[in-house]
Amino acid sequence: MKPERLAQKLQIAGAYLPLAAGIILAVHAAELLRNTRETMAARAEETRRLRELAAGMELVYSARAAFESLPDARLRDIRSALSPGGALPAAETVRSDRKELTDGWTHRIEEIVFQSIDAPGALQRALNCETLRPPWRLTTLRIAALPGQEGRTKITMTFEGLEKASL
Amino acid sequence: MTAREPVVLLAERRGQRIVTSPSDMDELRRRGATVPSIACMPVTECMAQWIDAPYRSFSRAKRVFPTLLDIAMPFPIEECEVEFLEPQRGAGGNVRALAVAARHSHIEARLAGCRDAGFDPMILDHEGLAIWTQSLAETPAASADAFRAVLRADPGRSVLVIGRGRSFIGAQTLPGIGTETLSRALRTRLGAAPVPVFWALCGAEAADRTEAARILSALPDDWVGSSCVHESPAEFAARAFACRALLRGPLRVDLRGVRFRHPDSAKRAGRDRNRALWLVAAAGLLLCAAASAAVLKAGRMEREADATFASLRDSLLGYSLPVKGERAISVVAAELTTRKENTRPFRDTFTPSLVTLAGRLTEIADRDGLRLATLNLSGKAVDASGMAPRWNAWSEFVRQLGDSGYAVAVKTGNAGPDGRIPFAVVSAGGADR
Repeated sequence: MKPERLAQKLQIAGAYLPLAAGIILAVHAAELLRNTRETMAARAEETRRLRELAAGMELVYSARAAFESLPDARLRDIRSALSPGGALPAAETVRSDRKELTDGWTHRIEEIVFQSIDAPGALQRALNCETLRPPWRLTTLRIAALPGQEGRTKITMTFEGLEKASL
Repeated sequence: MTAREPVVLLAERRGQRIVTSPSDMDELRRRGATVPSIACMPVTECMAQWIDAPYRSFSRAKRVFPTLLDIAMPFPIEECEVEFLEPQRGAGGNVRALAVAARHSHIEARLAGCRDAGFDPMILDHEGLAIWTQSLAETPAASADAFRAVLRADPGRSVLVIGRGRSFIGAQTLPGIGTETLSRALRTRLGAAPVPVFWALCGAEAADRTEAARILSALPDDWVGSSCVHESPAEFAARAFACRALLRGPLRVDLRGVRFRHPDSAKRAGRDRNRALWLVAAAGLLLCAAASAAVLKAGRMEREADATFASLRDSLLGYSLPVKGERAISVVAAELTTRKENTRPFRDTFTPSLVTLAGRLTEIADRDGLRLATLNLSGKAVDASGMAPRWNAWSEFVRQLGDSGYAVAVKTGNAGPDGRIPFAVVSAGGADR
């Protein structure tokens, strides 16, 4: 082959080589982009699901934060909380449970029975307990009218509360 | 420069327009290599003939065109410069092309003559094709089927070019302009039956009105449709070569070919080839760069998406977990479920107060005369019993429970001696509050 022809062929090869490489790269890139698009779509869906899970925790975190912000997180004695103005009517504690939670928090349950009390008065006392910080919260209430005693009832109240011994 | 007459025309392209001015051989010699010159091969020294390949495939047809032309020519194709112009489908669907050829010896002689005259033409055009395309450019065909005959009449030499619509049929020299000569030429090209032909006159003799009238009167009556004389007929052919050299258009040809290529033309071709190669290489590099950028961007986007996911995953967990996808989601979901369960008492604190509901219920009972015997209330269920002063007196009591999220049912008994009706409200269907 003549040197000029060879040089010409080399020139052509030199020009077409980047083009061929470009085409190969472009095909590869197109395939990669297609895979990436699928991966991105999958990742977006997974991230959306994680965000949904995170949204479900918002209430938990805000509730916890409300408690954590209390300067004194010790619960008042339930019996004294039920008698803010003085003596407590005949009442007895029938159950007292506690369960340790995370980070020093304790979940407490107190069940109190008033053998004879007017219902509105008892509810007012319960309301007082719920306004404390941290609150005692009424979780079950059983009212039974006392036969022959107009306006008097036997009331069983279960309170639950959260406390932390020291912050 | 025309075939025989030293008609010299200086042409300049302005946009898509060619402006010509008369010149002479002295100016041509003086300008020398600074202005590219164009000459032509006379129709007697070159040929233009349609070749029909027996194939419908263009690529196969192109392969056999040289052989077919070789058979059709009285001398070997190896001795000629050949070009096959405008390959197209013929009437039967087979591929045809206009073969243009000139013998090397004729080209050499022509170039030698030009050099002797003091110039070296950059392009050697085909006289017949140039006359044909210029006639169409200056006086467009009336219809796609209209026959046209362009008659170039110069002193002592006449050339007839015949075509139909925009399609070139053939070109030949004539021994003289006479009715019988023209009729014979037309019969040879178009067949025995006369058809209306549009005649276009050009050449030095057509510039003379008397001579032009004589030529028109010599046209065969049975082959005449209409006629015209091209503008500046003496310069028509020179104008045709200039326009074809300077403007793009059909049937362009350079019979210098590769073998006799003008040095400047070769340089230009080399430059064009190099430019094309550079463009190809640049396009390739651009493609490489774009593809690489796309790959890098895709990778970055994927990494960002992964980072967003990992950040959210770890922030929810509170620690780093090196897993992705469904597995990560199930780990997070399990962790959060446990965490929710552990912190349920915190959340429960924010549910509506039972005290408020109980107060509202006892208030309604008092107002509506219900005597409650029992009222058991929790976050999930309720039941109550008592006596009502009248039928349906419990409706407001029940509505309040419904509004507070309890699904309840009412059971009633028969009225007692005092007219009071025993009733009981119980949670229905176990629905939670």
